[in-house]
Order: sequence, then structure tokens, then C-alpha cells
Amino acid sequence: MNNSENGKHSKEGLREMRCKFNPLSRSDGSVMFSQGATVVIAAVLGPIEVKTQNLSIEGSYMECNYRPKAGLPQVKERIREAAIKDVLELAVLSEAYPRAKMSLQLQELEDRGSIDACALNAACLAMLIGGLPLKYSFAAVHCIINEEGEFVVDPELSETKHQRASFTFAFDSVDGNLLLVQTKGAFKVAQFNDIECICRSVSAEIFSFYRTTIAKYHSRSAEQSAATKEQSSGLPMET
Amino acid sequence: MATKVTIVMPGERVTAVEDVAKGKRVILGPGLRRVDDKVVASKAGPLRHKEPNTFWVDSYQRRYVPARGDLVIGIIRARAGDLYRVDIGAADTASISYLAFEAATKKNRPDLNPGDLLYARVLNANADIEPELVCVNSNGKRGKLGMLQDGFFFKCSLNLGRLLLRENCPALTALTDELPFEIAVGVNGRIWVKAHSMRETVGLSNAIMALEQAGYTEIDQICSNLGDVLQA
Amino acid sequence: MKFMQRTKAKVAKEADDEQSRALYSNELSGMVLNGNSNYIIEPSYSICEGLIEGRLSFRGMNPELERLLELEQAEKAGNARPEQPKEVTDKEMAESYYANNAPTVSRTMSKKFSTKNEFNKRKSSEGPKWKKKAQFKKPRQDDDNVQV
Repeated sequence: MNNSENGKHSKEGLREMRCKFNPLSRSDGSVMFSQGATVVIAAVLGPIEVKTQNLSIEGSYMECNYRPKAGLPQVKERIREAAIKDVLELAVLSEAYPRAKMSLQLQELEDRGSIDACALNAACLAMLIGGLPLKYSFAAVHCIINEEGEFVVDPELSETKHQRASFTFAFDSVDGNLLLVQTKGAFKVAQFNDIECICRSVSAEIFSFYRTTIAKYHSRSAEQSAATKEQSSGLPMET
Repeated sequence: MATKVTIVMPGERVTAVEDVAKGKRVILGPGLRRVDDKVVASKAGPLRHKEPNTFWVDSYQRRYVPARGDLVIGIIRARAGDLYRVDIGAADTASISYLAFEAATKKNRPDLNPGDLLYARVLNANADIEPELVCVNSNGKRGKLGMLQDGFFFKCSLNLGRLLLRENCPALTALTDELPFEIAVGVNGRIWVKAHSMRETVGLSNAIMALEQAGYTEIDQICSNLGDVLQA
Repeated sequence: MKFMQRTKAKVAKEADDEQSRALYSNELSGMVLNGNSNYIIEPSYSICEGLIEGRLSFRGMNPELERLLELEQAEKAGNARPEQPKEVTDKEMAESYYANNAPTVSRTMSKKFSTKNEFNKRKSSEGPKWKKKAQFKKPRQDDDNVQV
């Protein structure tokens, strides 16, 4: 990993990721996803019927709702919602289902830092398990520069108290292109570039997490469960 | 058959399919799409292959997407002129013409009411238009299609539906040993069962729903437990 | 002016033709492309996985349906084994055919040229022959399972 002169990372890698597929019975695909203590439930529905006013014959209409832990969504949540929707619209293969709607519901359960990145990753997992057509999967990484000028990837809430700048990047899985950049605070261009590099390399970890969890979920199925003699533990699976 | 299972992710190039396609024609099933001369996955899951040349991506998708030729169970929703609107669990309601039944004429309409169950074939499935169903085969005969009377109807995952419809599925054989019954399984994740008594029917549906939770290996055990369910 | 209108119409028509040709050539190249392509898109799981038809009845719950299923099974079995053993060999068939004095082919022409005398003679000689004609053959015991 490349160390820059004005920034050292005090911590490398992400907090532990966990997920549980299909905790909700009535959605087309749902996931409870946590990074460290930050927990989000994401559920997708789709393709489903769309209101005539949103109907498009060229592609499906994407809907995204974000609910905070308590109370009604405020401006902060609306911004988050819009950012997630933007990323999804890039990733979804919407021409596959014209005249339909794909709907994503996100429920924040616990915000202990990096909620933006966590919500995006949960959204991606929900899309994957819901079987919605995607051009690529995506992963988001949050990183801050703390008061000592160190880079902290995927920080805890306590670590963000005295941050100088905060960054959220989202990358696609195919070319590693940037899908989303959110920055806050003051920083140098060199720092930005360094952090982008770090986040990009860390995103590989998330992509491999996606792959292993999907593989585990599918290992319940016919051939593998016989081959591995793994005792399957009901439909919702803990990883 | 049980070889190494490759998991593909959306956007991933599937070179295994491309290699086969160099020699012969290849059938790309759900979850795979062609981008120029590359084959790219659009869903996450294990890549499946059936000899000689069919590839698809398995998934635990729960929403049914109509495809031509599928056999589905639909619920009549409304009557609209010459058509019935049928709910098949897809994004759009499907339509079926009242002439698409055996021996139906303009004078002699089939007697269908909202809420009735139909076992029908998807005649037309295009993303741009609403799916169309038929209840006759190409000879104008009813065959196995048509209205499902009495019995008990319930929904399940698309995967369970497909599991039951695999050739030589152990579940149905095991259930047959327990009691006589009649069943209709739609690939849209809907099942209709009928046995001699209400109690048997409910036991049967419970047994089938229990399979949802089960791995392939547990099927025999669950089916043998059906007898206990019936006595309870 | 009339000639200006004509020219305008001509130019419009040409542009129109050009457009439709472009459209058509698009379509054509697409079709040719598809024809050459080695990929066939099949969006149905049931066809890909080779799923059976999901309308089944067991142990006499729905006799009508079970008969259909049986027929289907038989057809499948028939397809798998197209060479059914012959119940009657070709030789036997020919023998019995001529022993029956196959009316359409036996001596149709010579009959026309025969005298009355010959005709009567043949008739009287055929009398006992008719009794000897091959009769309905009882099927052998092991033929029971042959499908019709």
C-alpha cells in the first residue's frame, strides 16, 4: 500500500462485515448487512408494476427510499437516498425490464460511522440476492483524515469526531471506475488521490465478501450440499 | 455431475461459455447476456451447464419474470372485453383471450370469474408488452391446462417450484407413497394441491412448504414425516 | 411555382427512401449478425433446466389426467425405442395376403380373357380353397405389452 509523506494510515482494512440474506419474507430480496457496529437492512422489489407517471418505455424506473433509525427522513437522509439512487441507476441494467419499477428500501438500524458506505454495500447485496440484472456490482468505502493527518479507512463513529476531511468512494466491480465521490472538509489534491487509491484497493475486499457470501448461500442447493455434506441451517443463513 | 461450482458475479465475463461457443451454438439462459462478442453475467450465482450447450445462472430470485413456454398458475383478476386479466406474480398482469380455451367460441365463453385459478402456458412474453397466456395446445386441445377446481393454493419460492419440477424429483415420489393426490406446480412459484380430504390436502401443502427450508438431502426425511403430519 | 413543388416532393421522397433504406439495412445487418452468431438467448428457466410439466396426478386422484400422463410416457418410451419388433414377419404377411387371394391383385387381367367355362371351373375349384384361407391369428402371450 502506498504511504504518502503527509499521511499515514493508522488503520488498514475494513471493520468486520456480516450479512444475513432474506430476513424479510415479503420482499423479492433482502439483506441485513453490518460493517462493524453499523447495521442496515436493505430490501428490493422488482421488477414490479409502476405508476403511469413514472413509466418509461426505455428502461425501468428506479425508486429508492431511505429510512433513518427513528423519525421521518430529513434532508440528510434525502441526500443519502439521492446518492444511492444515482449509483444504482448506473449499475442497474434497466433496459432489461422496461415499463417496470425496481424499488429499494433501506432501513438504518444503527449508525456507528460510515453509514453511507454501509448503505450502498447493503443495497448492492440486496440487488444481488434479489436477482435484479446489473451491469456490475459496486462497493463503497468511507475514509477520513483525522486530526493527526492520518488516513482512517472505514472509521468508527468515535474516530470521526475530530476529522479534518471525510471521503466516500464507490467503485464498480468490472473496471474499478468511480461511481460516486462524496467529500467533506479541507484536503489537498495529493491526499485525495492517495485516499482514492487506498479505497480502491480496499474495495476488492468487499467484492470478495460479496462473492463468498453468495457462494455460501447457494451451497445449500442440490449438488453442493451433497458434496460438502454441510448441514443446511434453514433458509436465512448467517455468515 | 457434482463438479466444482463456479460463482459468477454481475459484469463478469464468462469465458467458459465463450470457449464452447467457438465450436457450436450455445444457448444462453437467464442471468447471461451477450455484449458484442463477449458473454457477460447479469446476476450473481452459480453458473450452471446442461449438456450439450445450455448455460444459465442459478439464482434465488423471488420475483417471477415471464418467459415464453413457461407453465404458470394464475389468478383471474378481472374481465376486460375479450380478455381476462390474470395475475401471475410478474410485474405486469397477464392477459388471456376467452377464445384460448378448448372448444370456446364467441357464443360459448368459458365460465371464469375473478378469483379462479388457471394453469396456463405463457404464449408471449416480451418486456415491452404484457404477457399473454393460453389454455390450449397447438391442436386446440386442453391437455393438462385449464381451470383448477377445489384443492388448496399457496405460494412458494421460485426455486422450490423448480426443484419439484426437476426430472425424478425425490419429493414427489416420496409423497406419492403416502397418499393419492393431484398437484399443479407453476414455475412462477405457485403450487396447487388436492387430495381426498381437507386434512390430507393441508398435510400435503405443509410437507411441500417444509421443503422450502430443506436441503436436497433432507427431502426424503421430510416426506416420510408427512404421515405424522396427517395424524396430528 | 409548380416545378419547385415537384422538386421539393422529389427531394423529400429521396430523403425518405434513404432513411427507410438505412433502417432496413440496420435490420438486415442485425439479422445477418444473429444468423452468424453462435448464441441463442433463452430466457426461460423451464426450458434451460429441462423441467417437466408441473401438472401431475398420482394413484388415481384424477383418472383423466393420469391417462394423459400415461400416454405421454408411452410416447416418450416409443421415441426412445423406434424399432418395434414386428408382430408378423414380411414373409408371413405376403403369404397370408396371397393365401387370401388378394382380390385386387390376383389374376385381375387374366379374368377378363377367360372363357365362361374356365371361369366356372375356377369358381368351383376355389370353393374349398376359401375355407382354407388364413384365419385371424391369436396373438402370442408375450405380445401383450406391445403398444398400439
